[in-house]
Amino acid sequence: MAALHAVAFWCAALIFLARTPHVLRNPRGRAAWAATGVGALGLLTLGSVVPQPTLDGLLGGTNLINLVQNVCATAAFWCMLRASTSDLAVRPLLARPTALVAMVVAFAVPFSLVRDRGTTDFHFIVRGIDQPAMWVYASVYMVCVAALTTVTLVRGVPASRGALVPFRVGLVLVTAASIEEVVSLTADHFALGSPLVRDVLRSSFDPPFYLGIVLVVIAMASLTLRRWARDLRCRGHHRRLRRIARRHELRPVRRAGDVRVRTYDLVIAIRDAEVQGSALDDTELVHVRAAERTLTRNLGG
Amino acid sequence: MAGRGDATTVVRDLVATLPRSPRLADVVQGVGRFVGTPTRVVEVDGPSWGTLTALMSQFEHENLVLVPAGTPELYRMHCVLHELGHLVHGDAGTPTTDAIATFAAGGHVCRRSLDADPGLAGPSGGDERFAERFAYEMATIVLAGSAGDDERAYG
Repeated sequence: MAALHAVAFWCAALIFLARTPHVLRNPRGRAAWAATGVGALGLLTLGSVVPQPTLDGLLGGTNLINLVQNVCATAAFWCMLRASTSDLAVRPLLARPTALVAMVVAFAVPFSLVRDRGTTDFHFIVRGIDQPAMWVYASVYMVCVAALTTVTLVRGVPASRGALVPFRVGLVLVTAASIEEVVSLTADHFALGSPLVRDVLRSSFDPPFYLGIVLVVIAMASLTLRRWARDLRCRGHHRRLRRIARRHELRPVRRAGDVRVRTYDLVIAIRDAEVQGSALDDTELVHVRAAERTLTRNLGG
Repeated sequence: MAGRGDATTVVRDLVATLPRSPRLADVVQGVGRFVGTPTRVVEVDGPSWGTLTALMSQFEHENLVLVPAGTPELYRMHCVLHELGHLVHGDAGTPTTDAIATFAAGGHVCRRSLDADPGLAGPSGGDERFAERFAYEMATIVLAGSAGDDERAYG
């Protein structure tokens, strides 16, 4: 599982760094960007990149890293929900900042009631699952994650037409894994079922949960790459259309905005000039049509 | 001119009534609701349109936005949005009997004509400036929507 943890961390960390310049200019993407950053921090605490005892040692070496990990994960999924519901007139209750505080308090309080947290232990929860406080702590955390991902799936962008399938699949996997983990924790706490069944339940959490996270992060990365590729194409169109506009002494509307908007303004100015009698040569027409094709992709009727 | 605020305000008010990531068809429908009269776009084959790029004809029961057939899609969208700008601005247009298309004959028409003022954004009539500004601002919304909800939220 360490490899999956490491893959999830590096995916989240790299996409977080790659998106930083864009997000500094565009506030709209900040919630999703924060989700990858906080998520990467949470994944770092798993110990596959920096040993967990080292990190926990910085916090006193009493498994406080486990709480930090769960707070980061909850905050990351909450940021994802915020990003997913930013277009809604009324956001879901869970997307409010007070909901995040309430969720964190709901599992941090039982964590504080766990007796003798001992020294750093990757299996901290499993070792202490016989304690009611530990069971409540871990279960409430997992219920929070399941609730956040479910609301994201039902109310957020993944529910809209054309949303990337890996997003939906990733979120479904995380939701299913979270519910499965509550069952596993309950079986362990109350010693339900045979040891074999409990072992199977316990080991069934990591693959879907972290695979789900990897899918979500990869989907986000693919969207970033798609935007980069389109902006790159538009910059080329813009440069060529600007030359055409200069050659024909046009005065296109000058607006602030991204390169797509500025390319659009040039296309309209050039087409207006054409209607007014300016003759475009074949090469110029090819450039204008290419820009139009890029801008009208996915425009719909 | 039955002004309803500046173009930015009108676009904002209109967008609030549209679905997420509106397409041109959504805007046309939305404008119909906004002005209380169904509105549709009709492509017209026929004689040369000259410097006329689009025409909006208002009747009691519906508004028609007429555009020449074969206009490139993006430019067509801009010309349609310009005419929709006239509608939301409440421009009455002028009576006509000899419109470019028989569709428009007998109605009140507004035209996007480039015979006088290139770009229509200059110091010509206020109605034209409003309509053109509306077209540019609404086009920005439609273009942004074409990126997809997921890209705008996460990309």
